[in-house]
Amino acid sequence: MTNETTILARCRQGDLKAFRWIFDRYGDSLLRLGNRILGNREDAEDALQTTFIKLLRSISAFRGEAKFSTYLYRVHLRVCLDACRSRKQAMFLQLDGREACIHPDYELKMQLERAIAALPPRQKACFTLFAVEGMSQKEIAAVMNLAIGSVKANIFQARSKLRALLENDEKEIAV
Amino acid sequence: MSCDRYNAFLKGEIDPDSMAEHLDHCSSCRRAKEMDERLLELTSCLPSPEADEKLWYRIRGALLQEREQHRLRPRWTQLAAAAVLLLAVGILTHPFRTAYSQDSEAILSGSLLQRVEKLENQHLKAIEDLQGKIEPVLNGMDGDLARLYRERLDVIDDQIAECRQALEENPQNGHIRRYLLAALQDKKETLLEIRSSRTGRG
Repeated sequence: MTNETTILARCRQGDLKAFRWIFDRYGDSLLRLGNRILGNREDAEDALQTTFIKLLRSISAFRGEAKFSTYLYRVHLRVCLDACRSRKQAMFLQLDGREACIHPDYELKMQLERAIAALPPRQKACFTLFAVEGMSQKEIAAVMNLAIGSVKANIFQARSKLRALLENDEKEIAV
Repeated sequence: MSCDRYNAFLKGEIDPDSMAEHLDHCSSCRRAKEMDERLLELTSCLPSPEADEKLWYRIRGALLQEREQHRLRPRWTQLAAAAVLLLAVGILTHPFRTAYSQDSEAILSGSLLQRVEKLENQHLKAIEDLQGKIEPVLNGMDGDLARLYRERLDVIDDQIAECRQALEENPQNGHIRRYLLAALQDKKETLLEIRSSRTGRG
């Protein structure tokens, strides 16, 4: 059961094995995205569950005009951004304790996590899709339903802010 | 002195060839580019959660519940044609449901569990008998329609198998038994629909 068209047909019939296939293929990426936008694993898991429920409800309406992955990310982003809006506050990530012991960039990474978490939701989503998920600006525009110019601007603003953080870090080390 | 051409490049205002040429003699932009590459490198290796089995089972439970609540009901326009079979299966289904109504809690135990298991087995047997009678109808049906019905029955059989597998591990879980009952009902209704489609054609 590997053909995406077949998978979608089985999803429309409510076949949970087909949903499992989607989970295996996209779960990590969607959870990562939710984690970046919402700032913690628990909320990211809730968002992923909501996304799957929405997918079950709406899959019959998906006619394949866009790529399925675009459609899926679009649904998930909407869920995450809605959750973000409803909380109306920035959340900060906590790094795993083991990671702190083994990674020399721990402090900087923690600052980076916080800085990403503090970005406006749209910048955060554009930047994460670009820098973490490796999507092209065109793909991000399709997923986020934005003009490509707007995607470029959001990524640029996020990169500028985050790069400033690294530059300050280097200056502090140099002092 | 700071140069802003790398930022202009990121905004798409300068083409890559011109930027590469500029980088050869602008240390400020080279520095910005190095920082940018470091940023992307660090971001790509930030710790990330993984979608594990535990999360899948949580989502799977939510999907089962949702599917149960919004189960697609087929159009039963010729149900009367299968009244005899419906009655036969219905008689077996009735006490099964009664057992549930007596204990709507999630945990089944003792004699109630034994009774439910017995009725489930009777229900399954009745549906298998019904399927045996329907098989010749399916074989004589139009190819595409038969394929669709067979696919639908396969999906339901998968659901039944999943529920039974889950019940082997957790026989007292009333929720799983409800999902099983719903899947059995779905299968019964599908079989009756197949039967009624033949009756409808005369």
